[in-house]
Amino acid sequence: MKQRRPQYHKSLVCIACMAFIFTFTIRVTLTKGEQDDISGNEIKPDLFTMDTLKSFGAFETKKFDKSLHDLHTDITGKECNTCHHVKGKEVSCRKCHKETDRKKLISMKNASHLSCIGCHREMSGPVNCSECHKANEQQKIVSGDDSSASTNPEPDIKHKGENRISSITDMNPVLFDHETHGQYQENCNLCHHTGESGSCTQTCHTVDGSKQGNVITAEQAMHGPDSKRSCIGCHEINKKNKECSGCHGFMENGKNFNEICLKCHMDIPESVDNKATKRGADTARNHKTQKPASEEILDKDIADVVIIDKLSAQYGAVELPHRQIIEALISGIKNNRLARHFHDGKETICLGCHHNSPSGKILGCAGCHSKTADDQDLSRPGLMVAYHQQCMGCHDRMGIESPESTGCVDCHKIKKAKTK
Amino acid sequence: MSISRRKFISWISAGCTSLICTTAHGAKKQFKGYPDSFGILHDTTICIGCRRCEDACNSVNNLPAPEKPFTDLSILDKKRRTTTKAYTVVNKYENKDKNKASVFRKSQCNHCLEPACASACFVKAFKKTKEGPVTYDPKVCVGCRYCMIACPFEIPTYEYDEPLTPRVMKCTMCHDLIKKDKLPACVEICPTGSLKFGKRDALIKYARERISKFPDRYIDHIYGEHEMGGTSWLYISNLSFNEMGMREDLGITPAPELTAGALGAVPVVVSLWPVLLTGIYAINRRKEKLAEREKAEAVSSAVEAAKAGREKVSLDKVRGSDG
Repeated sequence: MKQRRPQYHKSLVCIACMAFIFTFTIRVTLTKGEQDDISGNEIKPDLFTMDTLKSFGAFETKKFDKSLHDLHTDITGKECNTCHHVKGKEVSCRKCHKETDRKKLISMKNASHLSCIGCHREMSGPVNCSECHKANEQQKIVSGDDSSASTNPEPDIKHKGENRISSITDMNPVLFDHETHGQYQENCNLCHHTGESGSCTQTCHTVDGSKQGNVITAEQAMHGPDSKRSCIGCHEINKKNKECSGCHGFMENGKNFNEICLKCHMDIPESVDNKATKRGADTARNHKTQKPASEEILDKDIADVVIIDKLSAQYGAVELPHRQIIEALISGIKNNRLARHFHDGKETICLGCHHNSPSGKILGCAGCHSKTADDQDLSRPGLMVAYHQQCMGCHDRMGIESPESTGCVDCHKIKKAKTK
Repeated sequence: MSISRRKFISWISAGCTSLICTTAHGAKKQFKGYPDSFGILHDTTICIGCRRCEDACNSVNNLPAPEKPFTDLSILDKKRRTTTKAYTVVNKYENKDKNKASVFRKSQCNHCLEPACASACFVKAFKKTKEGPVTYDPKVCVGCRYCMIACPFEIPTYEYDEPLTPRVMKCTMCHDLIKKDKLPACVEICPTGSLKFGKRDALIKYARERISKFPDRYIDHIYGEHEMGGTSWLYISNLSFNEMGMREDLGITPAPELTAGALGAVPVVVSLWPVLLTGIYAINRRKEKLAEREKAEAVSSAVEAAKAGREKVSLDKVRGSDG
């Protein structure tokens, strides 16, 4: 036993020494790697990839969003080829430069470090790591440039003001207002997810699906309710806004009324060419402005107050401020162009609460919900539950804190004292 | 070749063991609940924590009034469990995501399809009724409280302060009301429809439908569909069940199945053991008898031999004296 001890000590020393050397090497490589990239002299396959660095929590890659893109197009005088170095193929950098170095293509990290820092050194712009990679520093860069996003939403001049009309099925083609949609997105890659700037349906997501588009058909690509890139998917996300979720949170994900198809696949006057034309865009815009969210319903047969007294045992009747609710709902979506486009009829607002009313007639809750729950159809609750679910659910989703869900007497008049 | 006794006995015992094992296997048949039995689905995403169910349960079961009234919601800040005076309690669970509201869960007897309490009870005080509820009969209860140990959900409670007629107390799922085609009191009063009463199969179908319609609102799991072999109470939630104090390590084996093997062997052992022991006793007795007989024979023959020897000696002596 005694003989073994010194050996054990020896190995400990060995391990300690190795550990020291290892950490030292890491530090040197880390700092050296950064220096190399900045100077752009030498490109080595990295020991530490961006992901490894990310795990330390220090590096948060700057998103090259639209406002930043605009800033650069302004500076370069709209000379796209300053950065998009393959002429005639102005696509996202990531289309070619991947995560790691390849035979002829350097990695995205090296490419961006070379191009960005190289150019910044010659002209102006951030050179230090933290200026691009630290969140609080990034905010400094972007602030003040946001205004350009609204005035110059289109990074690619080629697309500006152009609207695409697709006519590939029996359905009326969609007049897609590219410019308007561009205004609401920070990053073009959200829709143009491969970095290609071309049309979705012509190259990748064709009617029957193509290999290039992973056999995802045009119909699937545009209507997938769970995809952020699809039309309906993105609109679904918008429905989660507080102003919308009161009614829409009650509805099934991605489920729409049949009539709603025509809101996008609208009738196109014969004068409009099926190709992308300026006139097509105008028609699309006119179509929207013709029917605003119907404020006029407020002046018609809308009850000011509805008294709910069909059930009252322990608690008394409720006075529902009917008109006030409608006014609040309409004013919530007043400045939302997306909502206004889809809510152009009286029913579209009413159906939020009167959800299963037959077309042309608005029914009260008791029209469908009886006092006792339907034991055949579990999705149809009894009248009391229907009332409570409708009011409380909507208040909850819209973030209306008063009246509280458990504050019974905030809505109900007390009829008799509680027994316990 | 002759068979030794030891060998014979070992064969018999081997035979008995295999018999016991086969009976145990026979007991492993899974019971999927009575057809058309009822259940209750608790959707915790709709529950607002108003404690009206506790109130209704209290009055329908004639339980003593609580210290604080049911309208006092400050009580929700503390975690509570079922007691002899409250068959059901609502607890509040904070959502990890601070932006999301806290979740309320009602806890009470889950009315297992194959109740552990009933299998542990040796006087059959607990019974799984065909309507769904697990009922308790205080008349036959001997107060052993095995049911409380057996219950994986820690629900039954015991009236320790009752000196003469202590009972085990737990939710009855309002069996009497169900038989009269009425709703259980908690379901009847629930203002938001967080509790839904119906056929268990239909409830599972409905719960699945809810989850698929609102995938971002629910965890894709129906608690109670398979837990402990399935329960009549079912839960769907947006918070993980573990975070709501519900055990997720219970597995899907019904509790009785775990003990059925050993308990199923009891009749066999009881019927065969006396036979076996009597046989062994008889063999031993026979062995002793034989040994005794052999001993007696040996003794008598020895005595005879000795006698004969002695006679011979005396005869020789006589002859010698004559000669």
